[in-house]
Amino acid sequence: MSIVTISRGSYSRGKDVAEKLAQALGYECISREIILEASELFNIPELKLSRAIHDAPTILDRFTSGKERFVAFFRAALLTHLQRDNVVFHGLASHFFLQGIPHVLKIRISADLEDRVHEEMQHEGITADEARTMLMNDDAERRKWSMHLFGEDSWNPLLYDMILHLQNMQVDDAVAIILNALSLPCFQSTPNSRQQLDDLALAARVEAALVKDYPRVTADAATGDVFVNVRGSLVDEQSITEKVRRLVEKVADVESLQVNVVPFVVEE
Amino acid sequence: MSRYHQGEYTPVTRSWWRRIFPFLRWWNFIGWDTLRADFLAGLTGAVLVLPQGVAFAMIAGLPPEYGLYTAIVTPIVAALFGSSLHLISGPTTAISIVVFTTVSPLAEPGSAAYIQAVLTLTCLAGIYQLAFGLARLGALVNFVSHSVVVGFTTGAAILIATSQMKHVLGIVIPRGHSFLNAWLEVIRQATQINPYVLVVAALTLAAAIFFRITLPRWPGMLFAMLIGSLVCLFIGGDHHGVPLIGQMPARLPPPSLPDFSFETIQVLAPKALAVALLGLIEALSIGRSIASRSRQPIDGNQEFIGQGLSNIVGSFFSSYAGSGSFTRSGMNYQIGAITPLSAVFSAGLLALLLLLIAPLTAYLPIAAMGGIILLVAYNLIDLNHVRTIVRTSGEETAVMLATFLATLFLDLEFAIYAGVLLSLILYLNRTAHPRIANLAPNPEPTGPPLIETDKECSNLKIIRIDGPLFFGSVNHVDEFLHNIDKRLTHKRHVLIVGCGINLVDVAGAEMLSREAQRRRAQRGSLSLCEIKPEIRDVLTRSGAMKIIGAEHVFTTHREAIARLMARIDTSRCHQCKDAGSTRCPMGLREDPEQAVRTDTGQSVTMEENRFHGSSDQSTP
Repeated sequence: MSIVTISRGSYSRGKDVAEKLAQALGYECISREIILEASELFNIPELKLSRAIHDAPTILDRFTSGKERFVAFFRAALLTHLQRDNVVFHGLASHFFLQGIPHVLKIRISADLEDRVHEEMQHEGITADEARTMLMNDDAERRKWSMHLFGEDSWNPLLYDMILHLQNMQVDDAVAIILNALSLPCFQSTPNSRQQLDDLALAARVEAALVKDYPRVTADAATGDVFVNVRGSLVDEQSITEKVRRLVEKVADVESLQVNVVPFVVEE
Repeated sequence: MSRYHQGEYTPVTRSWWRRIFPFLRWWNFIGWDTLRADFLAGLTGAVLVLPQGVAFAMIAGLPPEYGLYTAIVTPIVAALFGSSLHLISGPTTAISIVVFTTVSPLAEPGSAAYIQAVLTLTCLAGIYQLAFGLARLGALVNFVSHSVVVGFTTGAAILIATSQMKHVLGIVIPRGHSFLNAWLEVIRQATQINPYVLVVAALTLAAAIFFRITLPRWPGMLFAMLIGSLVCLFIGGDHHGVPLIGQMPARLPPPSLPDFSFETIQVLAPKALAVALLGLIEALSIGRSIASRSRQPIDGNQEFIGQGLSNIVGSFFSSYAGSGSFTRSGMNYQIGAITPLSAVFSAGLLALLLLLIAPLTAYLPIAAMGGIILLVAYNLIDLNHVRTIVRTSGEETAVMLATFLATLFLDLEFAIYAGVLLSLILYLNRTAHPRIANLAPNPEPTGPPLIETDKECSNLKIIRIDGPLFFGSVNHVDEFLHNIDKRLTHKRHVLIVGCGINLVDVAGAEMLSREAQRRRAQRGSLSLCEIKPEIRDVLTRSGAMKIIGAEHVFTTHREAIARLMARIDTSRCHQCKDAGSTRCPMGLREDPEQAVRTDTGQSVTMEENRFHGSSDQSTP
């Protein structure tokens, strides 16, 4: 009873590892399906959401908070889905959203660039130089994206429980190592860890409900009690609080709501 | 730090970039929502400052466009380099009148020489302010009491109103008249008042008051000026001696160069200090006032730097000395501005408005501006604060009155210096007279163990000194200690509870030693308890501890009372009014007859019992 997230670069065979692992465990294996779920749940075009999740942010995004909005929708859909447990999820920055949840095994799969180039050449029928350029661009884009949205490099080893470099080992070897890790008690779900995930999912749904009106909203939840921080002037505290309450009314499982208006953040 | 951050926690060090460019501190807070809120606040601010800029320039004796230039350049620099998120800088009434009174004796107001002198004054004031900020003297403004600011602004308001009488009544008051002479002149020329000018001014003033009362969120001054202009057109004012402001040049603040000749700097440098001080006091007090509502901490030094830079930069773009505006800053915050970008938007939109409406000022009568300025002057008088000060403290009232009268009857710059000096005197007087409370043990089981009382024990006097014991306050404390029992041949034991003493210098330590020696020589003693470690350290290093005696320095007052009561001469208990009672009326001892048989033992135990605890070890 646990969740495995696999972060990987394009053509690093992380997807193969995820699929074989899910098969071996009898778990559900998901990736881009969450985008479809999020687009249906929050009524946004799938393509728009997909681009927001994948492409590096533009200068305009800095002010419009467009990326944050789509990521909030995606996060809410992902965490709500993961509440079902027994899931292997690969790609799309899940490791950022699930930090601190004990029964989530976070894995990073890496591979040599030349191996990846070879893989891409075979799949796409392109030259080695083209494949290399595309992979390098893709990696740079992903890192930029992570840095912008999460202030963190996706290659930071502290984000993962385990990093597997597929150079000497095969996909099956990687799966075997992961299966062994999963058998450890620390990665088994407990009522406490499930509650943590439930809280995280509830907070994510509240953020998704508010992000359109309050782009830098942050929410925290504890067994139904939700604490929301929104940016605004203290002069408008009452109206902001009322509006937040109205918007959060539609979110299920919210038992109580505390709104904190953050008038400024000054960084030293 | 991002909530997804997984790196090791390292203490945040303030980056050099953020120190040099303070706007980087709030830059990451900007988003679409803050931009929208700031733009709306900026729009309101631009409309609000438009009439004010013109009016304040008139007060400063400058062509009207200079007020608007100041409202464009100054707020941008001050907002980006200052500390407050909501302070809007630019032309203000108080600074404008100081600029006028400072420079008008040197050149004809409105002339090229006058403008250049004003720009030089602005640059010099900015340099002072920047230097104060870089020298981290921001805390100095805290020493200027609020009574001084209130007294000064009230006086300035009356001076401003006086300066507008000639515009409102259509009479001629020669330049350089003092406050009293100006009013005498008004009375003398009462029969020569131009009714057309008076009607335009009165109707403009009435319209401004109407908007202020009924539609406070509307740009009432702007509408009032419009009404004044229409009235003037309707009655044919220009044919009946109603002077018009004339067309303002429709252009952005042009580059300018202050006069840096030695002679000019020599003349203006002392006057610029007054402008700089007033600007800083105004900006910081307004910034703090708004910060108390927005809960934002204000960095006084950064605000000084922001104000200084804004005036220096402004002087090179045809802007005269500016500071924080309470009206515009308050409105900015009330409208919902979130970051200082609202000031930038306000300035940008004002620049746009200037280009669009400049030709219309050709129809604006000076009398209408005079009417508006009368309202501005009235708004400057803070009657609530005046009342509060009068009710609260005679000392503060005297300071306020002195500053007010100095503003009216002396040089304005002298009034500012006088105010600052008075504030410092007030502060020094307070620190030189620390409060000394007479204490006794609390008879109630609840509440603080020692309470303030009027009762006196003939054996032991317990006092608490609430303030520093330094060279300035030594005389006052010494005098108090001498007067405790100056008529008695037997000196009492005095216990000083030192929890309120944060500082003792050599003079303080010497005074304590002298007092200890004096009392000891007359069968009394001086003891200390609950003193802070750093005070104990000073007493030890100065040698005072040896003279006072370590056995007279206690950790707690309980222990001190217990030990001292064991040493007292009970025969003096008969002098006590309630000597017939077996219980000590001060609650110092339970049974005076029993308690003093020995120096130690029983009496100590009784005292300890009273406080339900054992005495602490005496201080080594």
